[in-house]
Amino acid sequence: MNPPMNPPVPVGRGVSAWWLRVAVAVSGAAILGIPLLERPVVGLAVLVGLAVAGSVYAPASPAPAAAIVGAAVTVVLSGDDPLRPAVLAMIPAVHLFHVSCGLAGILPVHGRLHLVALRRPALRVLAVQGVTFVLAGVAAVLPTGRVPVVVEVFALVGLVVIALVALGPWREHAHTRGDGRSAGPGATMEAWGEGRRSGS
Amino acid sequence: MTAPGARVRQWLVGRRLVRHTGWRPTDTLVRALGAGFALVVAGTVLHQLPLVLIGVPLLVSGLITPRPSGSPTVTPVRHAETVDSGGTGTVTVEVRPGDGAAFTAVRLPVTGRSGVGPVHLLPAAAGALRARIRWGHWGRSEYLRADHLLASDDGLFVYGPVVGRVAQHTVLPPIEPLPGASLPPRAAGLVGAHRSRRPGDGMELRDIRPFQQGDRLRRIDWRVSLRAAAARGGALVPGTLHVRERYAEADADLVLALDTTVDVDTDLARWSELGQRPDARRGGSLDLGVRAAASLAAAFLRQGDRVSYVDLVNARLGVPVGSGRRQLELVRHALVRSGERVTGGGEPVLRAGQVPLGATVIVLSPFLVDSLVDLTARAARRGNLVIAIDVLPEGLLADTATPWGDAVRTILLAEQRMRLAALADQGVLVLRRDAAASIGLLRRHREARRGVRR
Repeated sequence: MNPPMNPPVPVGRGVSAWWLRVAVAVSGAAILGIPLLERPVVGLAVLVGLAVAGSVYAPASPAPAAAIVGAAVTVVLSGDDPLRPAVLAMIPAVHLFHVSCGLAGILPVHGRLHLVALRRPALRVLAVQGVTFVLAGVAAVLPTGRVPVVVEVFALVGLVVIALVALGPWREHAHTRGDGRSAGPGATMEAWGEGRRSGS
Repeated sequence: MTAPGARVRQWLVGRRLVRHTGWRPTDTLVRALGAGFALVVAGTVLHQLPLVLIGVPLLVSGLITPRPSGSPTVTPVRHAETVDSGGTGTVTVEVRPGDGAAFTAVRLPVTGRSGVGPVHLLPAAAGALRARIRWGHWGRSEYLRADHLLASDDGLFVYGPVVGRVAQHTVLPPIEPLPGASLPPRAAGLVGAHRSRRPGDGMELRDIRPFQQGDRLRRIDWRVSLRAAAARGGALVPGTLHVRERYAEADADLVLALDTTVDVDTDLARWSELGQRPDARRGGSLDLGVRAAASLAAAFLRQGDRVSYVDLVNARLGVPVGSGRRQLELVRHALVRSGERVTGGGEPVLRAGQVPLGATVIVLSPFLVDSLVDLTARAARRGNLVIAIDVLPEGLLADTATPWGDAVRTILLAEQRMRLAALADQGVLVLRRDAAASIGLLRRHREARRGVRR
């Protein structure tokens, strides 16, 4: 059964999709700059900087993943305290970088962004950050020192379970197409970005 | 039982298909699960809590997002196929995003502009999206192509992009208000809007004269007749009866002849691109000609005249003489069709059969070729009142890429001036494209020529 239809929504002008790229650049600058404030690791910072620049240019590419991993390694190398302010600042910065890249990847750069569309991702980011900081709080009160082998084994088994769950989305499903028109091999994300006619 | 080779082939086809159809994972999902998982594992193994804490939000956001289901649909609602240039309207698409979709990215017009517009990123909700659009330049144009892509939270899964069906419409040329002007009447019909010079059954008094054989009795003016009888002793004898004679009322015909051999704008360097564009250049000679023709047709049809349209290159695109509101629509549609078929070639022709006897002919052209001058002069020699409206855009810009640019421009303008002067010598009224000012001169010109023609 089809869901009930809402009343017609007037589509306004929105704001330029460039603002999403600006958000990517700002959050990318944050994940690049926060570790540098502690201890400059120049070589890694250059690589992360290149990856951030690549993310601004092509947010739907492997560049953001490289930037995130590089920034995480940089922050590990920049200090010893695992819960120092720089680490706590990096947690939301990396998440915002990830989310802004995700949204910028589905909207062509010459598109229009309607701010009402950001409400749901904002709430979602807050919820996930809440979970993460609860985890950080638990980690802060746990005793430090040598971890028992049993706990290590449980952790690794848990990771395997998580890995199996994470593989779920890659299961292939055959889906029917929406309006009977094929997106077609030519209807790529690149063609979408350029607004070209593509497909059959 | 399926052979192993066939199963592998089926699996490969399925792999390829899933990349292009239905809901499918994106780089963002790979990043969330891959990078998130890698950071958490590395942090656990290496005992580096920062890696775990940075990786957890990514991993959690990937794990809590289910794969959306269903088949989203974005369906445009049909709209009028013919609209008026400069007007506004709304276009609507109905969206059924399916379960799990968080964003709808759909190509829609921007409020107050024309064209299919950019892609808008909106929240996914079942319902109609409505955009206000301004119908822009006249001609056939696309106004809606609802290309769409639906995405789940954070853009982890996408459906599409799907190319939307193209919706086209005809934007009719605008009608600018022009002051009315009289055309020479022609007794083509029994009734009309213009006073003819001939006697007839109209309303306006022409003369009072003695009764003649064949006059209708109801035309007798009894007051004058009795006065004449009284002057002759009171007897109503032959020679005392008088009748009131009235003018006939007749139709007037206007022939709008549009030169579609060329479409040139102010930039001389771009004149060579003629024929490479499917639509008329904005502000170009064809645009000016079409707008003037539509306005003239509207002005004269409104006052009851009969108007025909002649495409000087594509005779089949013409509209026979007619009157009324439907005739205006026919002429405007024909103007749009003419605007699509400018190829930069063809010999302009205006046959005598295309011009009704006594009709006024208005030739709209930039007069860049001599054949247009010959054609216009021949129409004038046939006895029609002919008006040439020059639609060459003002302020021509020389081609700066060549040292001869200024010289070419000067020669071109000089030649055009000579052509217009030659037309004026042939008795053709030559006017600039400002049709509103021009049309008021019709009457003056007609009166100036009246003694010559009649």
